[in-house]
Formats: sequence, structure tokens, C-alpha cells
Amino acid sequence: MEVSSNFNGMQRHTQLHTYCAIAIAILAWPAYAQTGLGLSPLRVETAIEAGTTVSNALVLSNVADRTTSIRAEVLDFYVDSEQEPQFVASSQDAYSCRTWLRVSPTDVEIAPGQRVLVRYTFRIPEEIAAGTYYCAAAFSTAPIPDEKVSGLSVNVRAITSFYMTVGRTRPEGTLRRLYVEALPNDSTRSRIVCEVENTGSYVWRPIGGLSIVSAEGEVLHEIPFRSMPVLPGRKQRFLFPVTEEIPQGADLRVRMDIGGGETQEGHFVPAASILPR
Amino acid sequence: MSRPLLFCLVSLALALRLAAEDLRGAGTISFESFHSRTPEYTGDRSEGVALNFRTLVPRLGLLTTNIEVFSNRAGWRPGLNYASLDDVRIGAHRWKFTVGNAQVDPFPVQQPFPNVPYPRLNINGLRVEVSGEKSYYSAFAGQQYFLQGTRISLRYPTGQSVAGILYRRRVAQGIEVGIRALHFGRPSANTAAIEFAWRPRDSLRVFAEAGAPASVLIGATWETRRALFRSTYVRQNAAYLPVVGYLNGARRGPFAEARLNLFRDAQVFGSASNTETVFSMVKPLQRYAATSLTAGASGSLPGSIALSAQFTHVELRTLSGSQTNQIAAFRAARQFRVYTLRAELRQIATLDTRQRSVELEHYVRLRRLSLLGATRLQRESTGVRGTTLVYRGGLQLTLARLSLYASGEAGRDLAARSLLTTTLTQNTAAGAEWRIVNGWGLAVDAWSARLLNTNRDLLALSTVNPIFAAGAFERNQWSAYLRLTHDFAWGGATSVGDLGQYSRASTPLVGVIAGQVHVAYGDGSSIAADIPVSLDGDRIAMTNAAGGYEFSNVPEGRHTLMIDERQLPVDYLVPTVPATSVVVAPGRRVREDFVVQPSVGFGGQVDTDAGMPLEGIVVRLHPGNRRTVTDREGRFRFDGLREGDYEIDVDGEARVAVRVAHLAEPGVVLRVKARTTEKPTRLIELPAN
Repeated sequence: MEVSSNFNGMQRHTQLHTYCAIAIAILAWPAYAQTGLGLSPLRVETAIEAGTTVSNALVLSNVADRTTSIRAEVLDFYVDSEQEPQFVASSQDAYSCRTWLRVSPTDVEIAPGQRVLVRYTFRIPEEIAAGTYYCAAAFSTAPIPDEKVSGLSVNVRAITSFYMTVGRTRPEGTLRRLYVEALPNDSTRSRIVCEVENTGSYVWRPIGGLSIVSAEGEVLHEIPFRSMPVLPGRKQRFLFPVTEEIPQGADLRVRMDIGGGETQEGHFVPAASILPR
Repeated sequence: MSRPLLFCLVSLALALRLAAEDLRGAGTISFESFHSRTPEYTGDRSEGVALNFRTLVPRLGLLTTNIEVFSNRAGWRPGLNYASLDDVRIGAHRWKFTVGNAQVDPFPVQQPFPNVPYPRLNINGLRVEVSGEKSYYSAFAGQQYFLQGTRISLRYPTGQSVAGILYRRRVAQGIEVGIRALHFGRPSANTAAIEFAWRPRDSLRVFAEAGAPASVLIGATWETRRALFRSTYVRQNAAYLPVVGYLNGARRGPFAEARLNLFRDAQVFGSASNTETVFSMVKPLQRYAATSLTAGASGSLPGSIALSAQFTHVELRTLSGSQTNQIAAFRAARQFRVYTLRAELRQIATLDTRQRSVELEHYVRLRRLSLLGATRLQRESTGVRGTTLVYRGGLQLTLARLSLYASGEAGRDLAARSLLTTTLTQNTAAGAEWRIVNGWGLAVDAWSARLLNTNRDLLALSTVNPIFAAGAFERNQWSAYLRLTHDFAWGGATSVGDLGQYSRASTPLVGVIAGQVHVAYGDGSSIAADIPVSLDGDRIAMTNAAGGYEFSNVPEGRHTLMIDERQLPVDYLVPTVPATSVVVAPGRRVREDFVVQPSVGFGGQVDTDAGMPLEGIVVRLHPGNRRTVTDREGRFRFDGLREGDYEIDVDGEARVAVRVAHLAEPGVVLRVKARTTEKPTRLIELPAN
């Protein structure tokens, strides 16, 4: 939250901007924010060739009851240790495609109920290594110029993530760790963490999940992996909440299929029972 | 076994054989029965079977067969019997072969004058048609026949043979020429004609035909949304088209017609003609001339009131004298939701009679039921018939798959002895149509008609050929008709009608659409690569490094080309002209070029003199009436602009510094000036990035 102040009387009204950076979309999250900004598609995955140009369009719609000003920007992103996508203006990621991407228009006003096409163009460099390159186009609502605003104004942001794959897809990765940790804001509660690493250059999404098996061999609980990209060269934590008590001696088994020729499996037996709280 | 029946059985066997091959096809079989009580009409009892089927033969074409065999008092009679193979693709031409009955329009170039009647050639023989990109050929030969019967049409040979060739070619955009050559046997005659059609624009058509024996037809039509003008002059010898059964008199004279749509639905119209006709074989009308004038207007008033008025004047001059016929009519109608009231005043004046009438008609239209009732009061002011009342009514009822209708007339109708009016009276009909399940359908109707008065002059024409005698002058006739049909299909076909469209679409004659896309800069242009060109919205070709694109195997006909907005790179503006229509001809290459405009833009930053970025400052762009607000770093940006000169205004009263940077490609003209609304701005130009 920030408060913008007048400068030399250039704008006489006081404006309280609450910038709710609601990243609506990077995975399969809802297409419409509550404030009425719609974006489709939310994810673009395209096979490309070096030295080519790829163009297409997104559809941005205003389902609110007032005209909305939208500003576009091209961003990098990553997924943090809490499984939340983080968008940054610039990163040094070798697999960033941010500099290849241009969108138009970058600044547009949309009347209520209307839709606009936002065109995008990727110009792929001639010399690039095989792999999945990723970046995002973010569309943020902004104050309408000349509009007298007082009180609270809520700005939202909708994001389309791009995954541009060069060359033949060959996912490479491995399970790294499986452990129990306390919740960061509640040390009395625990969660199970599965850490995986993308050792290749292509993005993949693991299929499988966590099984909790009793000492007698009975499957007590199964939790699938959240559909989330594991970016090239990165380690990624998958979090499994503990909603029921896990008895002592239970075996935590994780099975992961990343689309290669094998299924990886790891397990871990906690020393003591794990309570949901 | 008669030949038609043998033909029927062979075709049926062929249909069953093709059905066994699991080809796509559809057909209709029906039983028809018609009974009438008119002693002088030979077709008073006809019944028989009709079979029509269409089958798509892979790599060959669309096979259509129609078999109709009926019996009447004279024995077995053929109906419409033919087999045709259509959409046969050979090279860049489409062929059609027809064996059996065929109707030939003798005009290879379509003549646009409905006021000029001419006979069609009904032949029983062979016909071959070839259609290409610019040309059309037709060759045919056979025996002519005429049709007889109101509900079931039976074919009777006229004893006249005919062979001919029709040829049409488009010699230039909007210009077609045609040639017709015909040979008639018994009586032997040869005719030939050359035709010319010019269509310089959609609204204007000029047509001319000259032939031997000496004949000429020339005219023009000009039709727009607001007006229609049509004018013709015809001079034709009696041997122009010597078809037996057609009233082949010599005729000559001009015709003109005009219609003006004034505003909303208000319209005025009129026509005039002066024709002279010579019937060498018809004594009473051996030579007659007619001058005709028609004028009228129609329109509507507030309150759903529709008005129309029409006046017709015909002066007929024969060897026995002349007579003038006039009809004046005024009609008014008003609609009250489901109820409509119509009124008509009419006066008919001929040589020896003057008839006036007023009619009121009530019409109610509900969702499933329509009712009509009308009363006409007629008075003949000269003659001895006096005043009469005529009543008529009708209803139509639709119940799901069943539709019922009935109409009737009562009273004594006064008919004028004029070429304008040959009136049927006490015409009563009732019928039903029932769409039974599984493709079965049943239609029945019965009607009676009594012709109280016939025109003595037209009766004279009935002595010329049997068609007039059979069709137009039956008296006191009642009839009943029944038709039981069954539609069937195989191989995934839906109906007989759909197969024609499917056939043409599945065996198209194809051409190529190609072109180049340029990007226009202020002082020139260059080729544009990676531009998506869309064909009919479902095929996309990207321009290559030379700016070229190509669509091959494009079916003949009209297509829509456009720059695909979704895949157009952001370096270019979305075209303001959305689509272009092109016509593809078989085996031909159509070129269509496009020009795209570069998309340019610029961004900047608004700072204080001290270098502090200013957020929330409104920056306005001129021209374009666009605006934006600076962000947290004081930055702003405009893109999607045409190249040119722009100025930006920065709202505020403070002294600020505006720095701008071009985002344009090299070579693109974009000059930017910046100023604040109130005070001068220090402009710092940055190099293009």
C-alpha cells in the first residue's frame, strides 16, 4: 500500500492506491478476477524454431461496470519456495524469453463489457540452445486519466505465462528430498515437502503424488502433485498439507513421472507421528 | 415390357447396387394418383410411381436419376425420365451428361428481361454441358415433347426433333458473348443468334441479341436499391424459335419500365409498351397491336396502414377493330396485431362493359391457424348482369406434422371479356399434408373450378395447338390428387438436396491465390515477411522472405482474403480494410496484394527539473486523442501509432522535463514534440533504441 502525494499542486486530489497485486493467472487459475478483468489464454505453450517469428493474440476483457485502463508489461517469473509465482521486471535467467516478446497495445482503455485483442510477437534469436524459455505478459489496471478518484481504488493484474520450446522435448529431473517441516507461520503444524530438481533444459510438470502408507501397508492418504511447472535448472518444492494424523511408522512415499521413460519413487519414514496441529 | 418401365428397373437396380457399395446417396420414391372429371381432358385418371435418387460416385461425379411412369386411359405414359452425371471433373472443366428428358434454355447468355417471353426446349435425347473458367458449352439433340396435366405432367412427343449448340464466353471483365445454333426437324428450320451482355457495374446490364431469321433484341436494366429502369426493343420473326406448341407469332415493339423507391417503403412505378404481333395461323388475331400503360404507387402511413394504387390501360387493335381495357385499383390494409383488414376498390372498363367492385377482406393469423374471409360487391354498369356478391374464405391449420388447408368461393362473379381477365370462379379446394415419421409423407387435395366466362379471342388461340386447349379452358372441372412419398438415404447422406452441394464441394475445380505483402513507409515501401494472410478464415499462409504468399488447391468461386489480425506481428498496424473478395477460376492463378502499415511508438519519462520522476501525470497525444498516465518511475508510452508527426501535452502547471525515445524501426518517420499545458517544457531528445 502506498500513498501518492501531490507534487507542486499538479494534481489536487488525494488518492489512496491500494495495489493489490493479484496475480490471477499463471497456472489453471480462474479467468476472471473479482474486479472484472478477463484474460485468455492464461498459458501459452508453443514449439518454436530459432530465427523465426511467432505472433498471436490474447483476449483481454472488461467485465466490470466501468471503463478500465489497462497497462501491459513484459515480465520474468519464477515459482518460490511456497509454490507461489513471482513476477519480476527483469532477471538474469538464461531461459528468459522476456526480451523476445513484444505486445501491442501496451496501454488501452476498455469500456464495460468490451474485449480487445492484445497481439504479441516473439522474435526468436538465431543462436539459441534447445530448451524451454519462459516469460509472462502482465496486464494491470491503472487509474483512468482525468478521472477524479477519491477513497480506495483497487488495481488488479492478470497474467499470461509463455513457454516457448526450442528443439525436441526431453525432460530431465530427479527427486531430491522428502521431509517434514513446520508451517512458517504456525510452528505447531507441519507439512510434507517434496523437493524436485529440473536438471535439464525443458520445463516439465510432475505427475504423481504423495502416498501415506501405514506400517501395515495400508494406504491412508494420497495427495497428487499440484500442477505446477518446474523450470529448467531450478529446484522446486511441492508442499503437501497434513490434514490428518500420520501415525508413527507410517511410510511417506512419493511417485513422480516427468514424462520420461521412468517413474521415480522415494520414501521417508518420520521418526514420530505427525499431528495435524 | 415398355421402355420407360425397363429404364425404371435398370435404374432401380443401379441404385441398389450403389447402395450396396455403401456410397453416399439419397432418394425419394412416391406414388401419385390424380383423378379429374373433365370429359375433354384425356388425363382424367393418372396414377403411377416416381423414383428420384442421387448417388455420389467416387472420383466420377453425382449420378441423378428420375423415373416417372404413369398410366391413364391411353395406357402407360412417361413422366419425367432422365439420368444425369454431374460434377465430372476433367482438367479445368466440369462436365455434365444427361440422357432422357432435359429442358434447355435457348439463351446461352442469361437475358435479364422478364417481359420478353421465349420458349424452353423440352427434349428427350442427349445433352452434354461443359463449364470452364470463362466458357460454357452445351450440345444436345433429341425429340421435342410437350407437357400435359395439371398435377401429374405427362410427356407427349410433338413429332419435332431439335439439335443445337450453345456457347458462352467471358471475353473481358463484365462482358460475355454467346452463340446459339439450332436445327429443327419437321418442319425443318435453322436458326442462329449471337448474344452480347455487358455488365460494367453490378447495377447496370446491357443485353443484345441478333439472329437469323432476322431478329433483334436489345435492352438494358439499371437496378439499384433506390431505383429500377428497364427498357427493351424486340423484333422477332415468326420463325425466331419455331417450337411446336409455342405460340410463334412475329412480334416487334418497345417496352420500358421504371420503379423508384422514394423513402422508407414508398414506391412509384410505371411501365409502357407498344407491341405488334402477327399470328399467321390465327384468324381473329391475325394481326394485332397492343399499347399498354401501367402506373402506380405504394407506401405506408403511421399505424401500420399500407396503401397502393395502380392503373392499367391497354389498347388492343385487331383486324376486326380496337378495344380499350382499363383497370384501376386502390388497395388499403391495416394490421391490428394478429388481425389484418384489407379493402380494394377496382374498376374494369372494356369496350362494352364497365365493372366496379369493392372488396373487404379479413385476415387473422394466429400461431397455428390462419383464417381469411372476404366479400366482394360487383356492379356492372353496362350490360345486363347487374349487381352481384362474391364470397370467398380460407383457412390453414398447422398441427405438428400435419398441415390442413381449405378455400372456397361462392356467388356469381362477373368476368370481363378482356384479355386482362379470364376469371375462374367457384374455385374450391381442400387438402392436407402430413409428414409421417421415418421420411414418409402424404399429401392429398381436392378442388373444383368452374370457368363461367372465357375470352373469345383467347379461345381462338386454342385452335392452334393442344396445349391451350388442355390447360387454360377447362370448364366445370373437379379433381383429386394423392401423393405418398418416402425419403431415404444411405452412406451418411441427409437429403437429395444436400448431395448436390456436397458433390460440388467434394469435387471442386481448383485454382491458386497468390500475392505479395508490402509494408508502406512514408517515402516508399518494402516487402513484408511473416505476414499472415487468411483465406476464408480457416487457412493461413505466412509471407516468405520475399513477401510472397500462396494458397493452392483453392476451390473455384468467391473467397475472402484478409490479413489475419491475430497472427499479425505487433510491428504492423491492424489493417483498417478488413477483407478482400476474390474469385478463383479453375486452373487459374489469382493475384491479390496487400499493404500493411508499420506500427510505431515512443515512450518517455516525466521528471521534475530536479530529476525526480513524476507519477500520475496525464500525458496526451495529438493527433489521436489518446492519453496515458505516468507510472511510478514517471514513464509513459504510446504505441500502435501510424508514422507521422505527433505532439504530446503534459498536464500540470509545474516546470517539468520530458524525455522521449523513439521505438520506431529505422526508416519510419516519427517526430515528437512535447510541451506542458501551461509552461514551456525542456525537451531532451534521446537516441532511438
